[in-house]
Amino acid sequence: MKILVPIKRVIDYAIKIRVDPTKGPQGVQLKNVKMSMNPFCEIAMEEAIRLKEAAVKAKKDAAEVVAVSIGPKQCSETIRTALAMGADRGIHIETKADVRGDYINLQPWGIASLLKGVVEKEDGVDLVLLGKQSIDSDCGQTGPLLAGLLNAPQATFAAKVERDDDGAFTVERETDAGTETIKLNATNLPAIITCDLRLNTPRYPTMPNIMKAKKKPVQTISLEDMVTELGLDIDEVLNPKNEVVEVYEPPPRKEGEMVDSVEELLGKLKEKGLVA
Amino acid sequence: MRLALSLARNLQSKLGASSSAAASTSARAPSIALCSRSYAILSSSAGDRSATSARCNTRGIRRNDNNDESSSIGGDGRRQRQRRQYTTHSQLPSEHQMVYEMCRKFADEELAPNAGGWDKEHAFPTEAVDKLGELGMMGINVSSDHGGSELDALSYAIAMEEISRGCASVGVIMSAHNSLYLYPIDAFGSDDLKERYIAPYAGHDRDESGRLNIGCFGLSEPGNGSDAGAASTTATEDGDEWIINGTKAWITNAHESSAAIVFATTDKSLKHKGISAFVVPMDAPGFSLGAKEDKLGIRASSTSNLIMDNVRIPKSNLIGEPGQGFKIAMQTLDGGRIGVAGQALGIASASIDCAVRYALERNAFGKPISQMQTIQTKISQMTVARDAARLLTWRAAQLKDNGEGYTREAAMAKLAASEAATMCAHQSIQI
Repeated sequence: MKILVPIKRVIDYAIKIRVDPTKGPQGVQLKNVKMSMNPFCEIAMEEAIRLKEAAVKAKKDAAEVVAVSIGPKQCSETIRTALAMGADRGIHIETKADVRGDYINLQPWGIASLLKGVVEKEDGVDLVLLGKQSIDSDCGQTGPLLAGLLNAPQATFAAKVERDDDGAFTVERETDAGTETIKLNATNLPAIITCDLRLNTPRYPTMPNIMKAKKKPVQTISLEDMVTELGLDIDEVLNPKNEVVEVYEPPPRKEGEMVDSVEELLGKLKEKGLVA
Repeated sequence: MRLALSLARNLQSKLGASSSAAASTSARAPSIALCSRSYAILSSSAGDRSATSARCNTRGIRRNDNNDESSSIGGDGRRQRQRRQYTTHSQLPSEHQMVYEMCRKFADEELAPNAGGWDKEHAFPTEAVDKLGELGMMGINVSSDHGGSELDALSYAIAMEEISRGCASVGVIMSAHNSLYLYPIDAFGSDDLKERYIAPYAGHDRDESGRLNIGCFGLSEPGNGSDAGAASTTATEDGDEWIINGTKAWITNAHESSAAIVFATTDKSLKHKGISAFVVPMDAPGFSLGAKEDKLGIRASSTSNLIMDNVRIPKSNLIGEPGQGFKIAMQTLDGGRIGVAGQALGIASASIDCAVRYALERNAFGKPISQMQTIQTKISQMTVARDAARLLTWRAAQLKDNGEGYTREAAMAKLAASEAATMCAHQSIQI
C-alpha cells in the first residue's frame, strides 16, 4: 500500500500574525517568523502512519508513506519532521525564496496540478491523505481539486478512516448536519481523503525516530524542473487564479458592556435592533 | 596582560632554543604543549585570554588532561578546531533543533498543565515519565546498542532546559537517571554490567507493574555531602560477593528506582582512594528505604534515605576498579552539573515566560504594566541572566562533546544557572 501525504509549511499556529500595512496584499509578515507543519497536515501524516502500522501488523501488505512538500529550501525541515514521525521517504519540490505559499503565488490549483503529476509519476498510489485546509490561506480546495483532476473518489473532513479487506477506504466524515459514512471503492484508486481535527492526535517524533530520519531519502527537485518533467505549464502553476486584493488585521475587539439584570440586557438588545 | 606576554615569550625562546636542536617532531610536540600549558597558567592568572589566543591562534587553551597531544596540537602550536561552536538556537544543526522542538512541545502539552497538581500532591508523575522514556529521553546519551538515543551533551542540555520549563521535577528525575545512574556504568562499567543495568534502563523496558526502570545515585550520607571522600558506608569482600553496610541520604528517585549506584569504602586506610562504586539491585535482602522527605520544591520527585543492612551483591557488580570510586563520582558529577544547569535554565525560562505573559495582560494606572520602566528593567535583567547562563551551559556541554576538560566550565554553568533561576523566580513573583 502506498500513501502520499502532501504537507505544507505554514506560520506556526501559536504565533500572533503581524500585518505590515505598507506592503499591500503581501502584507503578512513571513520573515523571521516561526514556521511549522500545518496542524491538519500533521493529522494527515499521523493517520497515514497509523494505516501503515495497521497494515504491517496484520501482515496484509508492505506499506510505504511518502511525504511531499512544495515550498522553499526550509521545507526540508518540515519533511524531516514528517520522516521522524514515521514517513519512509520525502519529495521536496523546491521553490525560489521569494515565491509565497500563502495564497499569493502558489494557490490550490497550482499545487493540485503538481500533486496530480506526482501521483501519476509515483504509480501505484492507493491513497492521498491531506489536511482539510491550511491555516494560512484556509482555502480547503487542494484536496477536492486534486480529486477532480485525477477523476478519483474523495471524502473530506474525515473523522475516522479505515481500510477494508478489499482495499477500499471507509470514511466517517463530519458535516454540519452530523456524521456520514462513505466507502471509497478500491476499483478507483487513488482515493483522496482530507483530514479534520478529531481524526487523531499526532504523535511526538521520538528520539530514536529522529535519528533514523536522518538516513531516510529525500528527493529534492526544483519547481521549474518538476514542471518540465511533468509536462505542465509553469504559468499555470505559478500564476495565481485568484488575486489578493487586500490584507488587513481584524479590528481590535471592543470592550463589552456590563449589565445588571436580564431586563436591562433585553432592553439593550432591543435598542440595537437585535431582538424584536 | 603585557606581563603574561613577555613571560610567555621568554619561556618560548628558552624552549624554542632547545627544541630547534631536536631532530624529531615528537620532541617538538611536548615542548609546544608545555608552552601552551604555560600560556594557560599565565593567561588565567592574568585574567585575559585574548593575548595568548592571538599568539596561539586558538579559540581557547586546551588543558591537557591526557598525553594525546599530537592529535590535537599541530606542529606549529595551532589547535585544530574539531567542532563548530553553537551559541544560539538558530545556529543548531537540524538534529538538535528537532530535540528542542520535540521537548518543548512535550513540556507545553504534557508537563506544564500538570506540574502544579503534582507539586500539590507530592505525587510522582509516572505517566509523564513513562512517556519521556518512549521519547527516548531516559537513555539520551546511551549508545543505540543498549537501546539509547545516542545523543550528545549539547542535546542533553537543550532537552533538560525544555523539559524543566514544563516541570522541574520531571527534569530532575530525567537528570538523575541519565547523568547520575546511567553515565557511571556506561563510562566505567564492564560489558556485563552494561547488559544488566543499562539496556533495561534506557527507557524502553518495563518492569512487572508496567513501570519504567529507573536508577538512582547514592553518594551523599547523613554525615557527608560536600566532603565525599569521607564515605562511612562500607563494602567487605566475602567469597564471591560484596557485603554493603551503611546509609545514604538525600537520594533522588529513591522510591521509584530498582537499582542504585552506591559508593562504599573498601579500604579505609587509603582514605578517598579507598572508595569503590557498586551497582546494587534495590530488591536485594537487607535493602530498605527511608521516609520520603517533605520538600519545599521539586516535590514531584522523591528524595529519601537508602538503608543497607548486610546487603549482598555479586563480585561483578563492582564498577571499574576498587579504589576508583572517588574518581568515578567526581567525573559523574561533572556531567551531572551540565544537566542541572539545564534544569535551572528551564526554571528561569518558565519564570520569564510567566512574568512576560502577566505583564502584558495586567493593567494598572491605565495601561499594561509591561509599559512601565521598572517592569521592563526587571524583565531585561532576568533575560540577560538566563541567556548568559545558557551560553555557559552550552560551552560546558560542547567542551564535553569535543572530548576536552570541562570540569571548571560545568561548575561555572551550574552556578550561573542556579543563580539565574532563583533571581528570575523571585523577580517573576515581584512582577
